[in-house]
Amino acid sequence: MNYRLEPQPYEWISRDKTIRFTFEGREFQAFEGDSISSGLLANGQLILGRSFKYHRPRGALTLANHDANALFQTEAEPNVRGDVVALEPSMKLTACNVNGTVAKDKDAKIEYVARFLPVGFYYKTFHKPKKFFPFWEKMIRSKAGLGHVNTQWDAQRQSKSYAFCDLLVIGAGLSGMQSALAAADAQLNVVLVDENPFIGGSLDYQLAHEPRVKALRESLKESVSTHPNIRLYTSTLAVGWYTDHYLPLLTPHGMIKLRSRAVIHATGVMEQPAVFRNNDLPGVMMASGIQRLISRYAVKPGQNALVLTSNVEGYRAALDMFEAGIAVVAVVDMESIAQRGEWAERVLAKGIRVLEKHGIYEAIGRQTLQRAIVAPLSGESCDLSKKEIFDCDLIAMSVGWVPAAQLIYQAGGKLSYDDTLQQFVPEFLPKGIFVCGRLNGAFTVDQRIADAKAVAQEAVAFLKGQKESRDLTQYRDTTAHSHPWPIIEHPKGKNFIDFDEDLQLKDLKNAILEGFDNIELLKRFSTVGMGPSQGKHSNMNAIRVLARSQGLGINATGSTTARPFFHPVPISALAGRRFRPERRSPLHAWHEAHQAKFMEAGVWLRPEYYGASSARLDCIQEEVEAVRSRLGIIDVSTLGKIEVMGPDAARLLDLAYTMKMSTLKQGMTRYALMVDDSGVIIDDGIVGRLASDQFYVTATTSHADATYKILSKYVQFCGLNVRLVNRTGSLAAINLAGSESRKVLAPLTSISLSESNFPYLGMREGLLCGYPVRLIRVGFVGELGYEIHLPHNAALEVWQRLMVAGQAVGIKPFGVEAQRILRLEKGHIIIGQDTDGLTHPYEVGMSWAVPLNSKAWFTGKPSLARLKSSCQRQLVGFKLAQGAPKNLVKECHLVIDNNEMVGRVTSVAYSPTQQCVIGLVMLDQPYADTSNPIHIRVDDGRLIRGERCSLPFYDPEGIRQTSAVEEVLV
Amino acid sequence: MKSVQLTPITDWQAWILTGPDSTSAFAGIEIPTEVMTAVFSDGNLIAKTGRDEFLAFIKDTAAQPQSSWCFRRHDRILHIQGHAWTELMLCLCQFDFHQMQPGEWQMLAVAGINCWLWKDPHPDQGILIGFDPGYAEYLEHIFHDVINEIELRSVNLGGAL
Repeated sequence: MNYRLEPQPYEWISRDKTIRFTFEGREFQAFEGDSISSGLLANGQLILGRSFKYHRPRGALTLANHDANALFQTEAEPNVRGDVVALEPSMKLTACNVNGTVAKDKDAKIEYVARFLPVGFYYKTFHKPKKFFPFWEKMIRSKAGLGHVNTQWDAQRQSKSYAFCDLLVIGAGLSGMQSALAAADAQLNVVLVDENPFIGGSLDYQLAHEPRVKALRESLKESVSTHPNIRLYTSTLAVGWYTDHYLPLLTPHGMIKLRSRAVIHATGVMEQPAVFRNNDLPGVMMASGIQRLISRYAVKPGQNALVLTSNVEGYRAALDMFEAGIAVVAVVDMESIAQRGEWAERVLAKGIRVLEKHGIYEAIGRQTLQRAIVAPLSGESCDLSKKEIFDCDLIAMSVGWVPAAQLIYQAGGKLSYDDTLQQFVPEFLPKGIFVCGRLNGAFTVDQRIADAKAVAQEAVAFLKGQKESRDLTQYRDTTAHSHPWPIIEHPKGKNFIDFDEDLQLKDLKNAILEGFDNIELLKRFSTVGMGPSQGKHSNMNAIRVLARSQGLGINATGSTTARPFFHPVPISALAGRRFRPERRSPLHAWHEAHQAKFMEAGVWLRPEYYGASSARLDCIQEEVEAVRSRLGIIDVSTLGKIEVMGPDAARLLDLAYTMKMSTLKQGMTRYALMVDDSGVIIDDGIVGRLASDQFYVTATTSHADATYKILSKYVQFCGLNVRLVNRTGSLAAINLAGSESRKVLAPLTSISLSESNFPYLGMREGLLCGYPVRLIRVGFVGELGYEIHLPHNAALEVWQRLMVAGQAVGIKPFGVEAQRILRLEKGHIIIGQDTDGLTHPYEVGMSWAVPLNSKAWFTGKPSLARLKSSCQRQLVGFKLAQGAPKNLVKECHLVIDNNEMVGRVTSVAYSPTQQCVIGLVMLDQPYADTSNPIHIRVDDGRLIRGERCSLPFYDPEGIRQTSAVEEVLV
Repeated sequence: MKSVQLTPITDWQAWILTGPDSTSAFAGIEIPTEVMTAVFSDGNLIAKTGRDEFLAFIKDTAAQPQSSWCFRRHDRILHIQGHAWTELMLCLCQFDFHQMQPGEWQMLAVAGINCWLWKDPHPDQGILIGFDPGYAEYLEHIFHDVINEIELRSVNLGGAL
């Protein structure tokens, strides 16, 4: 049978574009614009899923983004909402939470043991005997949950962006469009959002055939779409409210973080189900859901419909179904027809039977709806002596509404129950929050327009700083649109309050009897409202049940609130675009062209080594060898470089570093160790003095910005007359290291490199290859060497000229790995590698850098004075026996003594100079003070023995870096 | 025609000047008096970033500033133009660029990088953005990615755009 209707005036589908897709392996055909559910329903597939607990067959309910029992699994994603997610060509779909197929679910047998699974059973059962719990746990885990996450997923990221406006209007239905337009006409910068792909809201499905609103609809749509002061976001959900009207807008392209000065909520109302036996059968739907199916997707969800109503909307729905060719077998009005006015007359004029003061006692059907038992209401139960049975495959429920007020709750607004409307309506609204439309109890078209115009005026006045006051009740309807008790008891139950969690009326009653008689407790114990639709259909009826059982009014019973995000948000939208800054030195391209393999060093990319990946270790060893025997060159542009100037410059550096910098001679440098207030090492570098009031400071690669901030903080806190300039990015730096460095450098520079003019730890300014440079004679790698600090734009030319000049002596570029080995041979620590977040100078043998007696004050001094005598760890050097495998011991391997952990390896490498593996271990006291050999637990669990040795491993007298090497070699 | 165009500006020399001598270092060049404002005149852009601190972008052909604490910078500078430049920036920075006035100077984090921004006072001329040259590859890559994304996106924003 074809369930597709003739074209509808406001349908969303493109009939000229056919989509083929499969569901449970069967091929179906639909149109572009169809949702998954509408596409399946158009093909007569009425069962769309199975319920969470009992695996009962379920179908479409609302088509409004709340259908928690029509969740689908695609190849990539679980829990795809079939009622709103558009079909895509070649989609392969299955239902979630189904063991077999939707027609034949093997887990449906759970329903036969339902009486053993009452509300909250999982809190009470399966715990004893304890030994069986693993079995139950495994079974519960396999049955719990909905879809399956594909663990082979591809990382997806959607971009985030920011937006700003004067006024955000949420909901582009009649009220939203009208209020946005009025505000935009008053020159406000308006953002209008709607979760649907098209604007119009209920105008296009509940009033689609109403000639009186045709002109209004066209006019509003045209005006809001073209107004220069309105930005219109469709398919966009405002999913949360945060302080100062900061709202995340979930769009198909990602999340927009919108900051608005005020917000109008025109979010409308959500239809509520009636509660009767088997009210969950496929074929039982909200009346508005049926209208959406007809108007948006031109799908006829059944042939013979029964309408259960307690408002005029039910009569309108009956007329819409009649227009769509559905036989309306009867309208069952829970109250008197006298209240329904012209709509009832129109229904009667079509020859449709109306049963007033009746209710549906039971829906009947094996897999889908087939019949319904209708009976007169006697009080709040059915008089079965006068029951009638109607053959029908569709029941339209139109018994009430709740406001879509989640964001208002989040903003701190309060709602109260209106006994006239039998609905929650806003009572108190925080500053800048406004409401209009059905959410505010304005139901007729005239009421909604008047309310929307009034709220726009109110918002404009607020934003102009004028006093605004509005009577929220002014345009509210005076007749109820919700039934106060749309619940019919049945001795056999299966009258569901919560379709998400399979909660029946008796479940809530039992929970209340067990003492969970507060709405928040009832929610948590029974899980009502905690499923995928987050109580959108269940909370109101649950409140009614609790209120009645306690003999309280609805207001006294209270309601739960919805935390942000009140609607599911994909992780990809939360992730946003990845901002992972990557910094490159001015020599990056040269390194790349010379086979550098890069590694991350903080935000920087640095050459790890040069050469083929397959020969990594050999390349690194050759680079070490070149520095030790001839000449190496390394790009150290990543070092922090800070100018410190002013009359108080020396005082600042005395304060910030442990060692005294005010005594530093002009043209000389000194090792600079920075600790925090607790004495923990946080950075090191060198300080060089250029003039009495000017210093040049270097910092480690990863701490450069932090060091600059710390120095800036001291300047501010101490009121020092100092200027700081962070030149890390503007200057490059090159280290030329090795016995041939002076010979190669000398012809290229205006600076005299002689030992007498430029001693070890000296710093000189001059020209190199015609560029202004600073040369610093330091030796991190333990050889005669010069650190060249030069302008960013000079780096490439100078590097290349040094390479040419050094060619004759066999110059070789070296990377970070070789540098690490070279410094390890010298016993120099790397902050952050050989230290951790608790390491102080005494633990790493740097007491020489802590002048407690000779310096009046420096940051961390009081702490270090105490720590000096209570050193709990010690950094110790070790060697493995010659011939031991080079890669057996790794950094972070543990040192074990008598099966106790007594330390860890902080640095380890094969030393070409020592011809063995060397390293540093941080050992606990008192073990560190013994002379015991150390035993390191390696990856395969073996203990590898190492011998302690003094530091440094190489050139302990420091002759190679401090003297003229030519003299040493002689 | 792309919705956003990025054009590198290479004919300026960038400087940072600080200290009591900084104000007198600009021979004949107009300088701003208020902190966090900028003046553009005779092809030079000078921003006052502190009590006595300036960022100066001086034409290659003009006399460069001279003072004791005057240091060269090597900022990467891009001119961002096109009707969607605000959309690009709003994907990368949480500042409300619609509120940015012609000639306004800002120092903001863009895609996680500290940048300075200056809005060209001429209508539809977009903005200049300057940042550490080490981040040039990263930031320009992000800019191009976002521009491509904006162009692929067919969002109807109603009458406002």
